[in-house]
Amino acid sequence: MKRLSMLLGLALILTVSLAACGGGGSDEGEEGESEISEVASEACTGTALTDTVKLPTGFPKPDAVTYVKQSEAGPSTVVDGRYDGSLDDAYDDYQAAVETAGYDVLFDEKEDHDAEISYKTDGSSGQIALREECGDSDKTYVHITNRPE
Amino acid sequence: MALAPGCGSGSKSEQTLVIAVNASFSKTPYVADTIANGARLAAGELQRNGVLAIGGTAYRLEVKRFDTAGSPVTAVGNVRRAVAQDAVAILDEGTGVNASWQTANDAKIPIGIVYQGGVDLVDVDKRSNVFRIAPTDHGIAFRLAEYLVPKGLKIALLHDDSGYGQEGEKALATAFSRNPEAVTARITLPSGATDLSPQLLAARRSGATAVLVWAQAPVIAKALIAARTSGWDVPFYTPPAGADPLVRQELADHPEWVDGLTFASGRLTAEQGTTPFYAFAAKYRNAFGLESVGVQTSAGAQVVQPPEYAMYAYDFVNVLAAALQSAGGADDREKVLSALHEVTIRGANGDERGFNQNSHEGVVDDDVYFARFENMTYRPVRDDPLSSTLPVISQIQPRS
Repeated sequence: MKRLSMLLGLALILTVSLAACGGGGSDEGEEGESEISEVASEACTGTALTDTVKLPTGFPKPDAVTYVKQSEAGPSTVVDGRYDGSLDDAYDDYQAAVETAGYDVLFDEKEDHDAEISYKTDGSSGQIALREECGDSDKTYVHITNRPE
Repeated sequence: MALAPGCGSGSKSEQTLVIAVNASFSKTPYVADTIANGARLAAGELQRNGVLAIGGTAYRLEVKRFDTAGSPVTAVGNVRRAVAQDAVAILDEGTGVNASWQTANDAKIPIGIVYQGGVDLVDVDKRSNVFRIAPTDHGIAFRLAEYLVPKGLKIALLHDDSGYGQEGEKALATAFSRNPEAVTARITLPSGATDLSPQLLAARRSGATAVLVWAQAPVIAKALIAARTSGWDVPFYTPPAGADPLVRQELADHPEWVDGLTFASGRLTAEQGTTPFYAFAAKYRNAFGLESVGVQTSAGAQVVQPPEYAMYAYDFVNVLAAALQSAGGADDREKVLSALHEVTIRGANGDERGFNQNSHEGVVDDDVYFARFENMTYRPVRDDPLSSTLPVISQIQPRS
């Protein structure tokens, strides 16, 4: 009986959570989700940046990467772009590029649909995030956040 | 390996390993208890038939509490006691680590910080025995700057005079150094003051359109009370301490004053969604009961606290156990310390946890998210790219 009530309790928690995640028509969640997919969509299909990218000199960049957009977020620089290839290839290429650049890898992880490499170098640290969000297995969304020290 | 005195361990084939929890059980019991409980939960799971078997040795894991009472001096004394008891690791809230790490290092005992994020507490080169699984002040401060500066807010940076507040002030100074136009004032809040009206008035007169309070929970509550009683409806932002139950308890008579309070903290869920964290939360609840916040929603539902810091303690003990396995046991402490650089485990929220030669941090800056209170519970904000992708974690006690 105790076990049954615990299971019911867990089921209720999950139900409440899923209901909250689903949101209603006016849930802010929909706005947030469309916002990020819009950025990814632009990065996956947009034209290459013509401005100088405000990442540190020598920042690791595999040949298959195209930077599409950059912005300032307070003290940090955010760069979005795409990798022409699969998530696996993007992760392998970035790992090699980060090592070649002599950056310290603080953390790296590859999961089914995304991967991250957190790095540190002289004067900055940040993360290269790779996401399967281009709707095409031969393109991978690249999102870089670089923070000055 | 020397045995823990008084633990009744006899032969080489059966030993007791003490995991010391060094935290302020008497002054900030919510944080201390949740750390100790997380460690106990992991220790209990790691032991089959009451022991953790490695090679030919059966280890009994004993989680011992050491109360710092919020005093760095007491915290250092506690570490000496833990060393004297040959602890295999010290799980630490963070207070006093600047002075205690050397004592632990001399005995080759790892310290796992699972609450405070002070930038200097962890140094992979100089403090090889200090590790952390908790958001860093660097990450919290930079993520706050990244979130707030683009909004065009004019921010008063407030911090209390505790070690937590002073470390926060340092991190904020770095994070906002490139955007001085966004800062209207930097004000110290005396922790012992009963009324912070003068400080909040100074913040208001500075022209601030937002207040960022880096302080312990009681001070955050007092700052909110001072602002709201004066009719100043300015948005409040805080580090993780803003989610401490004590803030809501102090404002239980004015729940509307909590609405809109936004805090930064480490994300509770990973790519797999809520399932791993809820599984952990259910285990925690079954072992220790629900962590009641002591307040209700407007509909009368009891609010409970997700076991956030218990998760970090739980993960650290699991990383430690993996290192013990890798080192072939606890006899060679140098080997255990070295192994901590090499092992990775699947953490309670489904994310990988581990350290390497370049980093002793278990939570990366980019895993810091923002959540906002409404009706005594919080949910991730929708105007930050990471936060907007995160699910809401239930904080309502199921009705029986």
